[in-house]
Amino acid sequence: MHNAILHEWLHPVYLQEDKITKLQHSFSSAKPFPHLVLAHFLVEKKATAILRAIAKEKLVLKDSDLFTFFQTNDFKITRNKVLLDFRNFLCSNDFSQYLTRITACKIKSKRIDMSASLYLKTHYLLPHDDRLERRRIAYLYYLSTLAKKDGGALALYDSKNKKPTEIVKKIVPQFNTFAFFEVSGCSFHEVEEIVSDKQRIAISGWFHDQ
Amino acid sequence: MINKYYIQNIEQIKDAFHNNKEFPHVVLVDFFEKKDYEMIKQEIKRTTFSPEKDPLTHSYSIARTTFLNDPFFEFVSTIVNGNIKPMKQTILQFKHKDYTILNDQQQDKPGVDIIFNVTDDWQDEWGGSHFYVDGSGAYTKMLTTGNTLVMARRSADTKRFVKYVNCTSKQKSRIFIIMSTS
Repeated sequence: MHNAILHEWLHPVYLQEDKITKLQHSFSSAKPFPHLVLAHFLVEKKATAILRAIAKEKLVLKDSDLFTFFQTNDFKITRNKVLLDFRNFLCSNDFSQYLTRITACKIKSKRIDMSASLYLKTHYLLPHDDRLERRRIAYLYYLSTLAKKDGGALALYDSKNKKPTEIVKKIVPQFNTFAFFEVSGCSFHEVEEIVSDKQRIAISGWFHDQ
Repeated sequence: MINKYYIQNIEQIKDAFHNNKEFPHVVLVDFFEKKDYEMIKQEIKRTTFSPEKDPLTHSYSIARTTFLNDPFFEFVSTIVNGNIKPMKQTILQFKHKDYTILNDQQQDKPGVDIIFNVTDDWQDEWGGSHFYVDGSGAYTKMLTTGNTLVMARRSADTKRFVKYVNCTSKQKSRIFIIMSTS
């Protein structure tokens, strides 16, 4: 499990065997549905380089009944080496195996959706479950830090009979934090509206099943 | 009473509605005479709304009314070439964090939407506007101010949503009287 690419990218703590065992338990027992939040996810210099690289990407306003925010194209067509390297890391065999070990969800390497988003004041993403063919794990890698009062939190809903009932957990974005959850019929979530002048910058997407 | 201009020019309005071949609709500003519009607003102020929320489809407050009378429905019937009988009207109030979302379960039969905006001094950037979406993904945004009536014919592929009302609206709310036929 201690492969070179994992050592190159991940904070060393996430490669310790006892830590991995704890993460497995935390993920499977998390409420309202399996999820995990990994602070200080990457080695610091990688995180900083990724943030700098995103600033060079073109953003397009996405606006519909469900959301308003800016988004880049999928990184599979970016020419930015830093972002391509990050994408290659996340969809590598080694990281796919690492994630499969933590989540017990069989992740297919080499297949990942990945783009960056920028939320400004009044931007939001309303409740939905993310289900679409073959999506297995949804992930967010935060590149800015917000306070609870700024909005922009990932809010997780409890559910009953496959319908969302109430928000029971909020994950407030923190720089270099990787959050992920299992996509299922009850993985209802939203991104709360940004209500301050702070920016919410994140990379997000999905891992697919085998 | 309906603005006399519209009564006198009802045939032109009818033509305008039907000439929008792909999406028959018409937007009539200053729809009621000022005195009557003020009376409707006073009635709205006395109305008690009940909050209603299903996170996947909508969040708003709702009330029922019968403000709009027979002459109103006769006017609407003439415009849309249909026999629209007087019916109970729904009043929807949208404030910060309210919205409606399109969803797969939403299967409105073809019909006519009648939407009367009862909100003055609303800024478009606060959200809360009605959008119509056809099967191809094309959007039509209804830009309305207070005392504006929208009549729109829905096809089987047409769906309607109200954009999320954002934090810049502060304590204000946007109110519509809505009727739909099918």
